[in-house]
Amino acid sequence: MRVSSGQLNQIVLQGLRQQDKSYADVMTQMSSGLRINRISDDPLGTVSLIGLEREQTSYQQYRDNATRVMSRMEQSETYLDTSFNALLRVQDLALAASNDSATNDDRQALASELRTLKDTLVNFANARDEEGNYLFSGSQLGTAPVSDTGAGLAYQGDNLRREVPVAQGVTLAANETIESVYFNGGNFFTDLENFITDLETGSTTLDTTGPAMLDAIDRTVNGIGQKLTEVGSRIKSAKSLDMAQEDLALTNEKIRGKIRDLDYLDAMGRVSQIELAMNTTQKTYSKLSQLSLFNHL
Amino acid sequence: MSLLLNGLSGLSASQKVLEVASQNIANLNTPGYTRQDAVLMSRGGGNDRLSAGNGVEVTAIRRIADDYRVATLWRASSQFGYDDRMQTLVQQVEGIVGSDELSVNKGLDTLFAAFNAATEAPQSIATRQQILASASALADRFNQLAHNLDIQQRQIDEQAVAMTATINSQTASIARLNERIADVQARGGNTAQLQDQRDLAIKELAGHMELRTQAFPDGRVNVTLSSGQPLVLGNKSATLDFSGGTLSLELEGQNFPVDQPGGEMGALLTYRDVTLADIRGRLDTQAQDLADQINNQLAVGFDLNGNPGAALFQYDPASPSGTLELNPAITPEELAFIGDDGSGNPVGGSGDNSNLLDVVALKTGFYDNFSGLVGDIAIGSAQAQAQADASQSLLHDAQNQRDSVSGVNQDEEAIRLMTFTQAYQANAKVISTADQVFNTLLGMF
Repeated sequence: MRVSSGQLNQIVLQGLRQQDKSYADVMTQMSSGLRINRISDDPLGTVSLIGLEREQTSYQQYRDNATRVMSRMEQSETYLDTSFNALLRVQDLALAASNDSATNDDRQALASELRTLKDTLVNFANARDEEGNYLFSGSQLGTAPVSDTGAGLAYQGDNLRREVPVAQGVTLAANETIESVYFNGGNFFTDLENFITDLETGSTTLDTTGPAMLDAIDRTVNGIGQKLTEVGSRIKSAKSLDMAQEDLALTNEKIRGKIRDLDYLDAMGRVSQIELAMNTTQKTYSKLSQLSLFNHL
Repeated sequence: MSLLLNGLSGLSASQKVLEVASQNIANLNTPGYTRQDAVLMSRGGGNDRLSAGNGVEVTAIRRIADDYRVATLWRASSQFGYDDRMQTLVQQVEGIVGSDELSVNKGLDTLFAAFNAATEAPQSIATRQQILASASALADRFNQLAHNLDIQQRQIDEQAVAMTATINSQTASIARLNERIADVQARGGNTAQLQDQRDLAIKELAGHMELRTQAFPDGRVNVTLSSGQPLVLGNKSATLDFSGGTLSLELEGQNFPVDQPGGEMGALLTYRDVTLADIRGRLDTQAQDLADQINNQLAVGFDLNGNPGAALFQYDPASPSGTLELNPAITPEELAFIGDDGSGNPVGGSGDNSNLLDVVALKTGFYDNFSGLVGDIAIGSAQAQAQADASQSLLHDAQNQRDSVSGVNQDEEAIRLMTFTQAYQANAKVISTADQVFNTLLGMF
C-alpha cells in the first residue's frame, strides 16, 4: 500500500495518544488505590460491589440490633436475678414462719421482713429503663406492670414481645413480661399479702395456708428461674449471632477489597509495559523521520 | 526543426511537472489536500511517415482522489460523531448516578439504619426524629439526581441549538463552493483547491449528521440526510431549525421534519429521548414506589397517640423523583409503628413494633431497583466507550485509506524532482544539440 508522509505522523501520533491514555488510566488507579474509579471501569464488579456494600450495611445493622438486645436483656436479667434472690429469701422466711416451733413474736418479725421483701419484689417487677419506660409490661411502656387499680395488685401490661431483627430472617425479643411469673393461674402478691396478714394476726389456719403459700412460692421461683434461663439463652444467642455477623462482615470486606482495590504489583507491571511501548514508538519515530530522500538532494 | 521544438516541449513539460511537485511539497501538511499529478502525453508526428513525433505536452493536471474512499471517510466521520458524543453524554450521567454523594442506596442505608434502631426502642422520640431526618435526606438525594438529569437535558438542548447554527453555516458554505466550482469548471479552470475545501466541509458536516452525496458532471455535489431530506441542492442550502426540542429543515419554503439525523446531532436527540428519558422514568418509578410502599405500610399501623398512621413522604405524581419530600405535617409521634389487632385497633402500647417490622421488611426491593439502574448505566457506559473506540479506529482507518491515495509522499516528490530536473537538463541538451547542428550547417557556407 502507498503511504503518504502525513499518514506516518498520524499513526505515530495516534499510538502515542493511546499510550498517554493508558498511562493516565493507570496513574488514576494508583493515586486512588482503587481498581474501579468510574462505575463503567467494571460494570459487573460495580454491581457486585453494590450488593456487597448492601450486605455490609445489613451486617452492621444486625450487629447494632444484637448489641441493643443484649444490653436490654442484661438490664432485665439484673432485675430478674435480684428478684430471684429475694424470692429465695421469701421462701426461707415462709418456711420458718410455717414451722410449728415459731412463736407469735417470731412470726411478727418474719411478717415485717416479708412485707419489705414484697415491696422490693413489686419494685423490681416495675423496674424502668434510663428513659423511664417499664421493662416488664410488654408494649405498655408507660404503665407499671404490677399495680393496684382498686382490686389489689394485678398485672396491667400486655404480653407483646418486641422482636428485633438480628440476622437475615432471625429476630430476638428485646423485652420480657412478668405476668407468667407472678400471675400464672393465681395471684402471688395477693397470696403473699394474705399470708403476711395471717402471720401478723396470729391466724390459726396456718396449717393450711402455710403449705399453700410455700407451693405458690415454689411455682414463682420456678417461673422466674425459667425467665432467667430464657433471658440468658437469648443473650447467648445475640452474642453468637453478633460474632457470626462479624465474621460475615470480615469475609465480605475481603471480597470487596479484591474487587475494588488496585493490585499495585499488577499496576506497576502495566506502567513498565506502557513506558516500554512509548519509548520504542518515540525512538522508532525519530529514526524514521530522519529518513528522507531530500537529505540526499 | 523538430529537434529544437521537441526539446522546447520537453523543457516546458518538465517545468510543469516540477511545478506540480512543488505544489504537492508545499501542501505536505495541509489538512484535506489532495495530491496532483501532471498528465504527460507525447505529441504525434502528423501525416509524415518519417516523423518520430512532435515532442510532449501536459494535457491535464489530475487531482488524485478516490470518491469511494472519500465517501467511506464521511460515513466513518458520521458514525464516530454519533458514538463519541453518545459516550460523552453517558459518561456524564454515569458520574451523576454513580456518585456516592447522590447514591440512593446510601440514603436507604441511613433511613433503614434509623428504622432498625427504632425496632428496639419504638417509643423513643429521638429515634423517631432520626427517621424523619434521614427520610428527608433520602428525598434530597432523589431531588438532586432529578435536578442533575434536568440540567443535562437543558445542556443537550443548548448544544443542539449551537450545533444547528454550525450546521447551517456549513451547508451554506458547501452551497457557495458548489457555485464557484461549477463556475470555474465551466471556464476550464482548476477546481482542485475548491474541491478540497468542499470535501473538508462535507466531512465536518458528516460528523454532525449522517449524509448521502450525489455528484454531477458540472462539478456540483448535492447533499441530503441519509433519511432523504435535502441539505444542499446545487447552490442552495437548507436551513436547519431546532425549536420546541425538535429538528426540522427548510428549503425554498418547504419544511421537512427530521427524526434521526445521525452523527453528533443524532446522538444528542437519541440520548435525550431514549437513554435519559429511561433513566428519569426509572428514577421516578423508584421514588414513587418508595413513598407509596412506606406510606401504605404506615397507614395500616397506629401512632403513639393510637391514631392511624400519617404518610412519611409526599410527591407530585408529575415528577416523583424531583418533588419527593418528607411530609411537612408529620411529627415524630405520628410515625405508626404499632400494629393492627385485626379489627382496626392498635394491637399494643407504645412499645409495640409489629408494623415497624413490616416497614423494615420493605427494604430489599428498593435496593435492587437502584442497583439495577446503576448497573445498567455502568454497562451502557462501558459499551458506549467500546463503541466509540471502535468507530474511532474505523475513522482512522478510513482516513488512512483516503490518505494512502490522496496524501503527498515526500520521497515520491523527491524522486519526481530528481527525475524531471534530469529531464529538463536532457531537453536543454537537445536544444543545444539542435544549436550545434544548425551551426554546423551554417559553417558550411
